[in-house]
Amino acid sequence: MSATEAPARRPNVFAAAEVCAAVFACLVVFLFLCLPVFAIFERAAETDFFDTISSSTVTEALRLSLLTTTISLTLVVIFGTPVAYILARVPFPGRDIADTLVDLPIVLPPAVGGLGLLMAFGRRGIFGEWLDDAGIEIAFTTTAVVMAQTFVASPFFIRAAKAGFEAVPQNLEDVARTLGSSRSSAFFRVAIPVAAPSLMAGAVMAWARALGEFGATIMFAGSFPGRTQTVPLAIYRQLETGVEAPLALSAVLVVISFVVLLTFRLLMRRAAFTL
Amino acid sequence: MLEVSIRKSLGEFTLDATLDSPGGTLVVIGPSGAGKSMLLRAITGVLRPDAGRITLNGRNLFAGDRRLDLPANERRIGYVPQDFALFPHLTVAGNIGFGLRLLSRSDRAARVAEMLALTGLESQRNLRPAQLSGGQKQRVALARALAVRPELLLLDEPFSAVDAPTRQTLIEDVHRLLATTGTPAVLVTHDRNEAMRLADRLAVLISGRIRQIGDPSEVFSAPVDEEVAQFVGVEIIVPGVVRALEQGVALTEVAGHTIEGGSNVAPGDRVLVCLRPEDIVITPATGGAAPTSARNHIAATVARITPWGPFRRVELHAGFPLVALITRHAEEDLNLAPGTPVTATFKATAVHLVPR
Repeated sequence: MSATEAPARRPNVFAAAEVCAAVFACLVVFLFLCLPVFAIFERAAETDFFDTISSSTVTEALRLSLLTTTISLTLVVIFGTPVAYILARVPFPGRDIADTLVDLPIVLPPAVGGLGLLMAFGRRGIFGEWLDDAGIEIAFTTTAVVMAQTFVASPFFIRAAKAGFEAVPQNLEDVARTLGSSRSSAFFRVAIPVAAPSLMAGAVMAWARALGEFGATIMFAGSFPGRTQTVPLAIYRQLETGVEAPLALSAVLVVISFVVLLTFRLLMRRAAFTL
Repeated sequence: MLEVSIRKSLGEFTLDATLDSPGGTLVVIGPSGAGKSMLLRAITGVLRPDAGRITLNGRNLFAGDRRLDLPANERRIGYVPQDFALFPHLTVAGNIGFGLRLLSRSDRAARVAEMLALTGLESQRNLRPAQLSGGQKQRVALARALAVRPELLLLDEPFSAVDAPTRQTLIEDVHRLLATTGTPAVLVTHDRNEAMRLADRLAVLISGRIRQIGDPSEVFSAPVDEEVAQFVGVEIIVPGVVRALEQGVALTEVAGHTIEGGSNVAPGDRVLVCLRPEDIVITPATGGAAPTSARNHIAATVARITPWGPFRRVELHAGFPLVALITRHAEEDLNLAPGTPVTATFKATAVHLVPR
């Protein structure tokens, strides 16, 4: 009896140790991720949260962030979708290079992107001088905020959309064409809806990236309240005068992000279908 | 009437195919990698040939010399690919109605209902493709393609994705659908049984070339070369009509002869009688018949003798083509030459009947 029991017990000891280790790891990660969020709400609750949130600096920053991220997301989706489709479907020489260029803003520090935009569209920039002659000013305007966000956020959408289109079998569009659809009609009636979950996922990631944008914006657009001071810039700048406004803004940002991500997750579960 | 003569190179592979179909079902049979799918994709218009010509009922669909390449959406050719390619985001009804955009809402609903009824999919109309069985998916793909009343239907290995037990039923379904809608079809397959069951005309595609095209029984019984023979098998396949059943065994009339053998058919059925040349015994026509258990004795004359590996392939005329595979010694002993009258003998158990 004892001879058969001994080897049977050993794995149990290991299993218990494994469970302990896994639980410990989970605890550490959750605490590490949750504590800062908890701290923001805890400290924000100590301040006059609702007074602060209705102050003009805070509402202006929120309004500007919502406005600019909406515009940049729209631009990213409108221009990024055909690019993603072409990268997924059309073989052309130098596709690897084009692919890499599209991904570049993911790895570049945002400050580099901001500097690049400044050198291109700033008053002394390559196009800037020409734009200046035409009386168009871009740097340090709301337009510059949108451009900075579009620059850093576009790869997140294009990557996801490209993977989504690659997963749509070519046969589906071929069949759609034999059923009377033109190429573009097959694209809108088959490729887009079938890739929709990936497009949505990419759009959410791109929007989140645009919302958090800091480095490129401060380089290219500066930090002018009501014009270019989005929520992340306002949090940083207002820290100079006190912790109340940054806390309120952070709390709002946390809530918005959480709600958007959760809604998206639930929507995706409902829309999910297998290919 | 479909006429195709095209050339298309992809990497190392070249498809150089010429074929025609006056109507009915043309089956293109060939091993995998022969270019069957490529041929169909070229006919649909989603793959552009390098050169050649495709015409359908007098309409030019592709003419390389005139730089004419009608887009797929204007060809009126239905396409059922091997994986069926159902639209995963649409219901069964949505899939079937996909090509009916130009119809009014009520006309579209009526046509979808008609196709659902024809394919027996009414109770599945609101399901998504992921919820369907292989056979149901195939019926949706067929209904979707036929809903737009194409002038020609292309089917790519339509039975390869379904399990063997359902295959027979599906073959019957396809046969019935093509017949009731009167749609001419081109079906590609590597399966001889499917080819025998569905072909009004049969083409053999090997290594990118159509090696033989013609009446199915002609292709099966008289392959033009050894490679074709190896692929279609050396079979004797002749059409006949079942006259009676005797204790479950069919008596089938073939060109004035009555052939005994085969079962699971009913009197009046049109069938293909299949025999293997190695089962045919040749005896001199003049010799008095010794008692034997073999039930079929057919008077015939030798038409042609050709070497077949170590054997001799003897083609016989009996009002229908018969082929026997015998040894060189047997040929010498029987003193066979073209014109020699003989009796071809085979057992009832060697007979295999395929319903037509």
